[in-house]
Amino acid sequence: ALSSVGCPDKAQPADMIRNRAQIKRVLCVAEKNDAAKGISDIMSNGRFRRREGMSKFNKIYEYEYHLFGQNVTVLMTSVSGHLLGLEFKTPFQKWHSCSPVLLFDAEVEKYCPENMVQIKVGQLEKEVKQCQLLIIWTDCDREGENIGFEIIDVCKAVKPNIQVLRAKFSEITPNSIRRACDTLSEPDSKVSDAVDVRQELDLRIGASFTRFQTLRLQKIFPESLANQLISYGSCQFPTLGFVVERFKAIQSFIPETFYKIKGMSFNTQRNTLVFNPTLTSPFHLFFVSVLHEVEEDTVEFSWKRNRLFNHTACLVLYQICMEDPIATVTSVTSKPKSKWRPLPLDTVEMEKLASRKLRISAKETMKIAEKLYTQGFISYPRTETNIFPPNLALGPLVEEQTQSSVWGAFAQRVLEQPGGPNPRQGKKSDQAHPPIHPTKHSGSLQGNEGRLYEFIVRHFLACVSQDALGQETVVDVDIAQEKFSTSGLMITARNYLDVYPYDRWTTKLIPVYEQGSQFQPTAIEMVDGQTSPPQLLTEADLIALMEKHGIGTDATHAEHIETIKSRMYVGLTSDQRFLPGELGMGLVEGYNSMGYEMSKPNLRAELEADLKLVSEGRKDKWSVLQHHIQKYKTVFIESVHKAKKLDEALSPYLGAAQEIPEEQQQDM
Amino acid sequence: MAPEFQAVVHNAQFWLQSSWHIQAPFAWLEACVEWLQEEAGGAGRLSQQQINQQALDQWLLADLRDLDHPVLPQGLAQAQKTELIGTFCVQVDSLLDISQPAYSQLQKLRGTDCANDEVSAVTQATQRPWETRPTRMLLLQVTDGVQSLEAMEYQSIPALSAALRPGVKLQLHGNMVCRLGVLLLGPSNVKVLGGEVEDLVERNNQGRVMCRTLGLPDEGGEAPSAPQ
Ligand SMILES: [Mg+2]
Repeated sequence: ALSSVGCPDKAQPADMIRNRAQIKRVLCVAEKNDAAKGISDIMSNGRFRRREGMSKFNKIYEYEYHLFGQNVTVLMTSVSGHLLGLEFKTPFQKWHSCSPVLLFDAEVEKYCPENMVQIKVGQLEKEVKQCQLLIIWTDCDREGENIGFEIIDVCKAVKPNIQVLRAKFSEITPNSIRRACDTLSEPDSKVSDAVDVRQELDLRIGASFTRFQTLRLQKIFPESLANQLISYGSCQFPTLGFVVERFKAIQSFIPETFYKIKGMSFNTQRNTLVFNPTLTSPFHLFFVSVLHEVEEDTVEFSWKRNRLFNHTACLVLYQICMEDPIATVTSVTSKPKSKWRPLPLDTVEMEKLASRKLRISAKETMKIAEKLYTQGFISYPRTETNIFPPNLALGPLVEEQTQSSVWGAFAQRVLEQPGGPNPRQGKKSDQAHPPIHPTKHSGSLQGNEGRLYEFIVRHFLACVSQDALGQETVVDVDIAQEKFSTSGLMITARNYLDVYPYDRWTTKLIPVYEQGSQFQPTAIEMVDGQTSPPQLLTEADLIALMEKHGIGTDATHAEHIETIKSRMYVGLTSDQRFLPGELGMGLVEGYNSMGYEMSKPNLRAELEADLKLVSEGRKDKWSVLQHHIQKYKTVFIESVHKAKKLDEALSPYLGAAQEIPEEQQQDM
Repeated sequence: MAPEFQAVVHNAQFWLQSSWHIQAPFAWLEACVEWLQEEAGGAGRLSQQQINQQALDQWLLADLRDLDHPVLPQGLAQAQKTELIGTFCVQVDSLLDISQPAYSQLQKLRGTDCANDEVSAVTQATQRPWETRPTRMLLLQVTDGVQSLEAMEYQSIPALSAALRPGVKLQLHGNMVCRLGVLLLGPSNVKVLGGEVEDLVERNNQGRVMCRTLGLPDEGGEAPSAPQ
């Protein structure tokens, strides 16, 4: 049991320390060695002494620091993510040890996996003995808070009277680390509780369904599945469900032919460049360079009716136009149009954009971002916030980027724009971390690390600069009472687009039309086309769906996607879109046919919402745990009753199902 | 037949023609009035006004094919281009919005349309101003009982809706262009008289019309495999 010191009013951290004078040595524990090193470097001004720990991946950094108005010796070390795991007690661990349904109630315990023992014993238990204060420096998110409590537990077991504080930070930069040292607080047990609940539910639900379906299906389809683990997870399945759903939508889609009328007119603007003399932006020059790309021989007028799904009806209207093929300009409207600069970057948006624009998978993106963070290049990459907090000084962050030979000039422009950096503001805040932003300049990062860093910098500079501005002209014409329209665009100030090549906005020049004037189109054509099905999901689409339905958190989307890939439930097409495999299809169809929405997001989304309430202290840990165990247990029991449906759904893919004698069925 | 009865039928015929521009053939109307009086318990139970009204109701529910009484000019459906002038009452056998794919309309009708199909990762989809939602264009299969042709909602007609019951009767009037067997209708050309035809309601309900358009099996109106 973890001791939680309820201290609702945020007392001065120093007050929480009972005997400040007795504090001579402080043990600090970060989540990873990289972070420990970065933080030590800052706290010691680069003057730490490094020694080996028992675990060769986790060093110990030792230095003096001025804390609570006195000099203390700091030992900074690290873990490697979670220190403890959750497992069923021995009698239930073996696959055949019990009926899977018992796993909903079987006793569980935290244990230290073998590869973590050295850290536990060597880094923590040994070092804490000479310390009077423990400061938790794990990442400031749910998992980090929970890892913090694992560390506290291990330390208190060998030194019960150790005092404990939590450092809160979003970046490994001097300012942020110094502020963290000045505002040490209590670790938050509610946030950690939410992780405990999630871990226990994942273990019980995952193990029961995985054992049930693996044992059954291996027997029923021995030829194809004899040695295959058929895992189930309450996030995995809805994620897989989205892939299958899209695939089926494509399969059942019926294309239809449509017809449309289009008007063409010679583009007299072809080789003329028209400047609006009132515009003074230096970016006019840009027009010259892009003109040859955007110019076209003809202006196309599109039909206001867009398209008709009946040949005769379209032909009738086309004939009417052809009998009197004179276009009358009914209106010419010109109005300013802007293209908005991007919102401050949150995790989901970063994953989606990196996947679409850089072709780096979500998992890889998070791995790189984590590294960039621990090296101090960017702020904490797991955040739901897309609003910059008012107290975060953007000027110095932009200034830092003026060193760059590539985007330095743009950064300078941002500093000089009226009012300075001006972030576009989103609507979401997790109250823990700011949007992802660069914290220091680097011109030396290579490969995907360099590309992702560049993207984060460009996105940041774009979002604090100004919207791109243009003037759009819309021309409406009538041909024999059918209405058509075209539009031209003159970009007057590229602004953020100059630093953000991931967005495109192009000038389109059209001739000057006068209201009331008439002209003869060079051609009026009736063309046909076909409706097409939606496309298979990209990784970015899948993340968008998971976010929309509340599956997983921004921190875990990438993992769940990776799981369904590694289980071979889905594959990737050559253009990186998700295609369900036979096993994945069959499982989703089977569970769907039972009538429970197990491949639908609802069940998991409720769980996720309850976890949030637990972390905010608005729901009780135990009641949430019991509620969801019961709910999944009911679904489990029903699924076992209807297990034949699973066989039926899989046999079109895996061949005939083996009959299983009654008495064996009972065991399952 | 008593001259009195003949007069009642004549009066009804005149009333339908003059008040509604409905041309009901005498023989059909005779049978209709006779039946109405029988149902009412004998001649003389119903006033002329009641008979007129009830005869109108019967006409609205009739399949004009059974009346076998042409009102549209002969050869209208075959003409390349012509004009129809006057007032004509016709029956709508079926109708479909041809501005949208039948597939998406069918999914919507069955509630199997899936919002997830539209989710894509593109966060800044800017719709261009001239790409407004296409306006509905209903295409109606109409008949006067003898000649069938199509009629399209050339200009938007608020009085029409996809929910009209197959067999509903319309009054068409004014100058209407007819091309390639399609009448071009605007709001001033159409008055909905009401009614339906019992077996067309069944046979030509929206779901079935869409299935036929898509080449899907027609029976029962069940989707072969609706997307999940
Ligand atoms: Mg972490």
